[in-house]
Amino acid sequence: MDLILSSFDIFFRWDVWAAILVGSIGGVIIGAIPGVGPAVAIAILLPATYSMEPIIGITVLLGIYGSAMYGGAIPAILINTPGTPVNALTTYDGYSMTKDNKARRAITLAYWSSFTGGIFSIIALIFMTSVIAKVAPLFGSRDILMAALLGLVLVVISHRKQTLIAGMLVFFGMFISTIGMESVKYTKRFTFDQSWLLSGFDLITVLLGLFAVSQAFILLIGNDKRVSMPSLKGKKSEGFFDLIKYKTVALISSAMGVIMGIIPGVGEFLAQFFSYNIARGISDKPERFGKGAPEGIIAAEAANNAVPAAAMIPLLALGIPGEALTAMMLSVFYVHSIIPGPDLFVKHIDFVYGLYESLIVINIIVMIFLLFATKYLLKIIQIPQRFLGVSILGLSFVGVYTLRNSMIDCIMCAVFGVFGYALKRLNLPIVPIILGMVLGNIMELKFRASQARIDTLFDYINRPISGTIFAIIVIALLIHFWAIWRQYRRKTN
Amino acid sequence: MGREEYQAGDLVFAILMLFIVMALLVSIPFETKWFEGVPLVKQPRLWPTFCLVGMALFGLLYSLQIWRSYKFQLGQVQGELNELSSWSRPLEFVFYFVLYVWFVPLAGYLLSTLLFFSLLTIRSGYRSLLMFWVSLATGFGIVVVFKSLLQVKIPSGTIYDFLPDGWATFFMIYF
Repeated sequence: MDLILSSFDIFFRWDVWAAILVGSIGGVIIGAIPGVGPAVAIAILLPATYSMEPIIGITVLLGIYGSAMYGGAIPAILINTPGTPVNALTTYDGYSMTKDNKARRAITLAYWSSFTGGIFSIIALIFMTSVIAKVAPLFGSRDILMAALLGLVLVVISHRKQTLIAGMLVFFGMFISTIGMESVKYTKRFTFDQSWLLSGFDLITVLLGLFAVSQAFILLIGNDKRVSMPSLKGKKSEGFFDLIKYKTVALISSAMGVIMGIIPGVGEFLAQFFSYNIARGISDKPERFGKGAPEGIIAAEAANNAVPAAAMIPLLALGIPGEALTAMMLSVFYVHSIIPGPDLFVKHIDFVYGLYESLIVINIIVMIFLLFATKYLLKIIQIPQRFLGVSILGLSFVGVYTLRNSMIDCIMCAVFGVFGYALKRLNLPIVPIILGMVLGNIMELKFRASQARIDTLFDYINRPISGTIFAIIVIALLIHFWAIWRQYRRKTN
Repeated sequence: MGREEYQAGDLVFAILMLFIVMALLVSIPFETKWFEGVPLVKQPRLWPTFCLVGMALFGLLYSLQIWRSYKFQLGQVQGELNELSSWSRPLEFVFYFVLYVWFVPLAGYLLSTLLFFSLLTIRSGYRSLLMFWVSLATGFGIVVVFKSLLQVKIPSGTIYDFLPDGWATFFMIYF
């Protein structure tokens, strides 16, 4: 309780509140615009947050991360176009409800479900923090090495039907992180005698290229779509009563979001996929799913909004980002020499609680904002796509050029933009590259740090934590191969 | 999330990536160092080699997967080539972007951004006066938020040296 009270000193600062407001409302707006999404916004804003205090910078980014999916549900429900990729499942039942003239009900249901998921996950985390604070200091180099490996394995196998290409892109990301001067023997690696390659590829340059610049190219080269907005009729309270009616689905989905959020490399997609299937399994009318079932919206939205707070756990406790957005946030910590990991829960626990409190307020502000400002957000959804492309390209300049005022960085960012454009056209995943880059670097450092205590390969897994994580890796791989085998058998029969 | 179907461009992408990996694998002895008497696990060469071998292995399996679903028909070959050429379409915008970056230290952030936004808006096919003003307002807004308020590190333009003293300082700090 003392820790929670001491965290209020951080929480009640005016600049923290300003960051909460900017992040939460900005996140909703960004999420509501199809084609932008939180990854693009965070990548652009990242360098600007470097000059802020960590609590301010992280709060702005968390605000965007935590609230973008609220906004993303609006176009998903009204025009069948998800605002952020993770709102795709919401279109199934949300748009069906819109076609049945129940747009207001679907939207308010999505808001209340998102709010439930968000608040549930934060409360769960506040209670779990004391446990994590006790367990985190027990993590040594080998344990963190195994946790990073788990993250990479999960990110590969969670890309169902794209496992091989995801594997290749993870290794590609890991390779990128090795380019430049290595820090142990100070030798050059893959610099090809180019001085600009000595410092390697900056994560921000790669992130901005793959997420923001590539998206700008997609929008600039594509065509503007004319969208007609359905009218919002009905009471704002309709969705709330639906949520009360299906509270079990909301709670199960929120819990699923928390579990999936904590596991590195998994994230929103699997959380909502599992929740949706569970909701359909326990429903009295499973045949309604995909045709306008309120439980479908609840499952998708509660699950994906429970992920952001939970995804902070591996990041804060072990310094291991579970997906691209937390990987971006990791760089904010490093810039301010606050190294996420076991020490954070010992030395800066008030900072961690301050973040959780900010997350609660972000959810409340977003909810209030959406209940009263949805009709204004409908205008934002109609911003022409190509003009959005112009704006994203202009904003990307700020992101990459402010790093070190380097023309080379901008050219590299543009090159990664073209690469990301090709990946997006081919519907190939980008996230494995980023996680490979971040986790690969962590793995190399921990691999080297653990050498003093390694005689045989078995020594990597003979600690209780690393052994347990290794067992999870083996189980995950067995389940994956079993699923492939089952699919193969089904095809051949 | 995932996809099962073959898509035009898959094969050419797989071949390109494999080609890059092979070139990188061959250059390992020249681009990394090996220290005699140092254990393998402490060699700086180990980690990039591990990454490239992993990339090659997955890349090879991915290529085989694509190869199996590939049918050697004229339409598919044409589709691959069309997709390859479509990847060059963003190069025009890369050129504008690099030009913008080059122009900022000369003309200053404000003028470069206004020009970039207005010209790219016209290039994107918007001809109405309204969109022109919207583009200028957006560009101006971005400069005000990032340079004037957040004070991000963007060098002032050489052009500001030609302004009267008071104005020059003002523009250097805020625009």
